[in-house]
Amino acid sequence: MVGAGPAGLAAALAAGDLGCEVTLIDAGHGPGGQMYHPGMLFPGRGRAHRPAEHLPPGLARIRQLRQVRHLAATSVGRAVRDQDGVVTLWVGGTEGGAETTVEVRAVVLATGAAELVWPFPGWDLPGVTTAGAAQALLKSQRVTVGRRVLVAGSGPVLLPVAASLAEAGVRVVAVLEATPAPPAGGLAAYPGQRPETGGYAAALARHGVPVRTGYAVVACQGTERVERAVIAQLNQDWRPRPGSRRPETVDAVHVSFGFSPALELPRALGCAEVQPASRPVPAVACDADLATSVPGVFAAGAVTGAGGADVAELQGYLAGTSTARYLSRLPPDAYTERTRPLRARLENARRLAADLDEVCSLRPGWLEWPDSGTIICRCEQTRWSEIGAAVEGGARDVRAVQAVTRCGLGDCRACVCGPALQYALSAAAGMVPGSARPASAGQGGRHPLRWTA
Amino acid sequence: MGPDRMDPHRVRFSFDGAPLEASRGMTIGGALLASGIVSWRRTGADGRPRGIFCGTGACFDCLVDVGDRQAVRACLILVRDFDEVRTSMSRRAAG
Repeated sequence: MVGAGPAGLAAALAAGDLGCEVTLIDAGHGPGGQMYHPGMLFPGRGRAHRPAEHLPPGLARIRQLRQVRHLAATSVGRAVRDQDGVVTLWVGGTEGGAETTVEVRAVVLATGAAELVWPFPGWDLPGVTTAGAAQALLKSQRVTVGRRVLVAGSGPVLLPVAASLAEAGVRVVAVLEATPAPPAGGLAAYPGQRPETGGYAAALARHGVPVRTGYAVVACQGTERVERAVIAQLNQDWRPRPGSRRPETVDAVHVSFGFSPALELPRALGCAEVQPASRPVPAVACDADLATSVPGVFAAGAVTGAGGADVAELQGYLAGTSTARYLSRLPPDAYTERTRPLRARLENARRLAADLDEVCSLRPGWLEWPDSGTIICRCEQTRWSEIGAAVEGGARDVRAVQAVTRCGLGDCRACVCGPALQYALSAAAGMVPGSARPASAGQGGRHPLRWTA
Repeated sequence: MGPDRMDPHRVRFSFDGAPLEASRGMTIGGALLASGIVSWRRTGADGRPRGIFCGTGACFDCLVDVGDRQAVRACLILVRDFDEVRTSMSRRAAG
């Protein structure tokens, strides 16, 4: 199992319960992933106030299961599957040190997702972070990045992050959701009004934090850190409305546009990918048993494009059970019987997620936010104008652009800039981003890209 | 507790030579942010300041030098007593 978030933990439990020997590899210091953070000692309170268990009861059982060997603070650098079906993972400590290898007969990829952030001028200034980073720092360490902040982007993550920050005493100037509310329904269709997120909306209202739909942070300014954010009103396609830009004094901006599955490891193993219609980012392709296109390689959680901890956990149990069947620890009819309730619950969850994706779909107008000098690849410092020059010089796909600009060839292996580059290339070619379909008038038409503005 | 005894819940470390304290269990990134420091790396080409971005170990923006370890991810590794943390000019992560 690679990844110890809800999906990886559930998969380890399911496979371990069926007698498989499980190695659980994760970069974190304890189990839980980005969803469940290990608690820590709060200043001045001492050990007695350390929460005994940060995992939900079902997953906390991981600590008792003898079949599970947990390699914490460990990353997978390379992975290869040989002709006999043995998968070799090269693993190393996150602090450096010698690599070792782990050989397994089957692997569950539960690598999760990176937060998706579209680039804008100044997004690389210190103080501009993903919404997830702000949440993680607050939840696990009681640390905040700024005192006067904006939470911006799109999707259901914004409200809980803003609510926790406000509860922690941070002055949240506003939550800016890029997608304008539909004219008739007001905020009705926005996830903030849905029952599962209604509590966050109430918390924000209590702290006087306005939630503005149809607005975005389109630039950040400052020298050593962000000092000002430029807010613009957007149209339905997320294009800034002329004359709507105004500055706001802040010392931090927390951004999220949803999630982009972490595909480095699945790609290394040759797993096929799918492109959900509503999202411009690919995910690992899985069948109903969560098997990928590579025999013995399974996937669960956000890496499959699924959203939410509950879905991830359900998928984890299914993938772990599926792995046990693959390893002949479970006869086929027992497998069917055991997984029937899981499948039904997953089907429900999938429908909910599809609704949410529909409301929070990503729109192409962000392509107007970068200016010529905006850094797109934070590792290699590739600028928007350099990508434009490559495209105008004939580069049509990611590899061709990378060869000229080095965009996406740095340490993060394109996990931050990859979706933006792919999206921009699709738009430049007149395609619906992420698909082979030409953009029609209904999707905002062909987007005129300005690389040198 | 006498003045010479260290609070077991606190960690003493330094950043670019300046002495700092943090709660035990914090990451280096968390410890620096808690001390009001948001930036601890300069990009190779144009010297732009960088700090925490993704907070999950994915983006490698928060690289920092710690003792003889160069370019480790500040968001992942825990701060330890007497760590000498320094602004990183490295272009590549250690691991």
